Amino acid sequence: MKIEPMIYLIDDDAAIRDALMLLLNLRGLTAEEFSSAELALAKLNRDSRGCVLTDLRMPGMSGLEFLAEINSRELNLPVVLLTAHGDVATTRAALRGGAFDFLEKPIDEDILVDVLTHAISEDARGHQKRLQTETQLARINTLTQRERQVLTLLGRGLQNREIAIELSISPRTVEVYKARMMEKLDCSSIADVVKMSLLLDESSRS
Amino acid sequence: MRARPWLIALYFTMHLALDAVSYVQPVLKLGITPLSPQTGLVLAFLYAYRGNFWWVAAAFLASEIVIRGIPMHFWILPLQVISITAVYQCAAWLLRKKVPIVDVATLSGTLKFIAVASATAIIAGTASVGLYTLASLVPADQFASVLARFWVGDLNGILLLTPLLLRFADTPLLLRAIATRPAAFAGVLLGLLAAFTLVFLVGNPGDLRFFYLFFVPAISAALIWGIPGFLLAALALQISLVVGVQRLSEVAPLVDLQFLMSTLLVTGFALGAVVTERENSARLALQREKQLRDSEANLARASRAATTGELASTLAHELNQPMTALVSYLRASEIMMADGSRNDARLAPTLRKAADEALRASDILRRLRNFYAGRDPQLESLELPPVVEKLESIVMRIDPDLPTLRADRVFIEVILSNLIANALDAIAGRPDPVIEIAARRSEKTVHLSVDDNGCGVSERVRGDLFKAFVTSKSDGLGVGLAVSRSLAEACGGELRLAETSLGGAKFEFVLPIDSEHRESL
Repeated sequence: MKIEPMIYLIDDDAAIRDALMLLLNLRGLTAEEFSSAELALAKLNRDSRGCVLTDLRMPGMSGLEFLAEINSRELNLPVVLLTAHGDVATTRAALRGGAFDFLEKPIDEDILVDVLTHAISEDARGHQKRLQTETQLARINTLTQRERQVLTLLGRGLQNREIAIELSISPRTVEVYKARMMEKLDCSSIADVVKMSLLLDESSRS
Repeated sequence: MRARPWLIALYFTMHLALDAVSYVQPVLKLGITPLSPQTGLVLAFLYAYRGNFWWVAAAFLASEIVIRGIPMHFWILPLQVISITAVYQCAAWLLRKKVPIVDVATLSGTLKFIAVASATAIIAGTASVGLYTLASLVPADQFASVLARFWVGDLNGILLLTPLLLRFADTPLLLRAIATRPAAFAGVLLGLLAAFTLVFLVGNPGDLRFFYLFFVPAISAALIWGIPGFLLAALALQISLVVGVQRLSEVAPLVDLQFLMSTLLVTGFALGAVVTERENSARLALQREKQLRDSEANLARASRAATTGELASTLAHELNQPMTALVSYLRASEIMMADGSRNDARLAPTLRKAADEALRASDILRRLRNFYAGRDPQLESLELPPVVEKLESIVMRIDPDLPTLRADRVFIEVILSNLIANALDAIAGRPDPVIEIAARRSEKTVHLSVDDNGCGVSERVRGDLFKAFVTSKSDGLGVGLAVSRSLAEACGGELRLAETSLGGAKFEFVLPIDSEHRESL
């Protein structure tokens, strides 16, 4: 199922929401508006695709608090912050908090569209990558104990003979495991195998 | 600190000169005169520049030889010179440690200084006269009287010159002080002259009754100008005594005069110290008061600057909101028009909305101008109902017998519109919104209040409600309550959070009733 990318617009100022919705609409972008960060959070989930465009200064949850919440929920959505007074401290806090970009009001429409398009494609790329990783991890999960050991040792740069000694099996058997493992993981080269083992390392570390 | 060469030369010259002019009526040609101003110079020099022991000893030796010639008893001279210099060195050390010269402005410091001076003179005298006696230059039976002569000479020298030299910095101050009281100065001068005439020209030689007349001008100087003034008067007196004794009535025993002089010096010192002490504490109190005022002013300036900065930031935000919407509406309109589909039904409303946003921005600017113009309150006779009723909507409870006020109309409007804007925000979305604007009078005040049944004031902001720009509402002045409170105070009134009777928040603006009108009512 393919989900349409969406711009989640959060601003407590009704006029700004109205104007930006119209403008984005005219520029061919789909957007949804929220009058507060809390309302937006209630709607967003891990399947939400696109990006968030939020005001920094709002009653209730501020833009920075919203950003932190997005990160802690691992929603993986790029967040573009809007501010009326871009002081250095706030900008730094926003970028350190993982904001995708930081725009000053009033906004130049071309820059806005440019930034939002970038954010959306960045989100799509990230999403794609996450999907790929997930598939690969799922494949790794189908490996048997031995196949997994062979994968790990190959990843460390060991030769078949060394793996055989390490696992106390014959080099011939190693060959068999290796062939089965590569088939399951859809790897065509040793380079692919090394990438897979890195992925396995990463996922077991996290 | 070692003295510079030119200072040492100056000291040397002064030492010799002072010894020369005061070499009056010596005992047995031994340099024991009833006046030794050079001792005051020596003590001041050693006090200010430590480590000049040998220069001082050399000066003593040189003046002895230059003024009195190489004596028969030359072997005793180095011993005497070194012992006297040592005594003065010790005295200077003691003063530095225990009685810094700046203390010779308080009574206790002055008395200590007199004690040190007196002890120094007596020890130096005992050493000197003792040596002379041992060398049989002074008959043993005259030891006491010669010592007394030595003592009084050294003591007067120290009392007169040491503080004067060390506190030379006081002189410009003193000259100014004299200039402000020329009559007193003339009086003191005349008094000195009169006493001088009586003592030396009219009175019989040896008749010291008139000496007490010198007390009048000297003590007056002490009372008027404190220690520095007294010292100058005493110096003038001392010079006139020496001149008088030398030129006019040689038979007058200077030593007797010098004892009287000591009495006068001690008395004048003590009185001068009391006066100086009082003056200093008064000046100190004034200084403290000024410092306090300055720091208060600085604080006010700093807090004003901080408030201004915060105001600027808040207003930038407030202004950028409508600007953002305005720019976006206009760009949208542009796109719609460029699209060729000229009959886009959204175009007209979008342009209207753009205009609304422009008005919103100018409205904020207008309110900003009202606040920032910082205009003085324009007091005028003011009927409250029209002002209050202007803000239509809403429930009003206005006492029929409101008194006429003297207040700034715009200030009150701004405060009320801020409060009402807040109330409107608070009740937004309520099914049964109520805002009650009330105006009622009490004995000395008029209470204007805005009450609502909105969301109320959260505990979090309650404490700082009026202080900073705690809320971040996007409409309204944005600096709302802080500005309102300062405007209320500018009108002589007060703005406070009151007990709500509707369940939301109630703000009360209390204005004093114009006293003239109150009396006439």
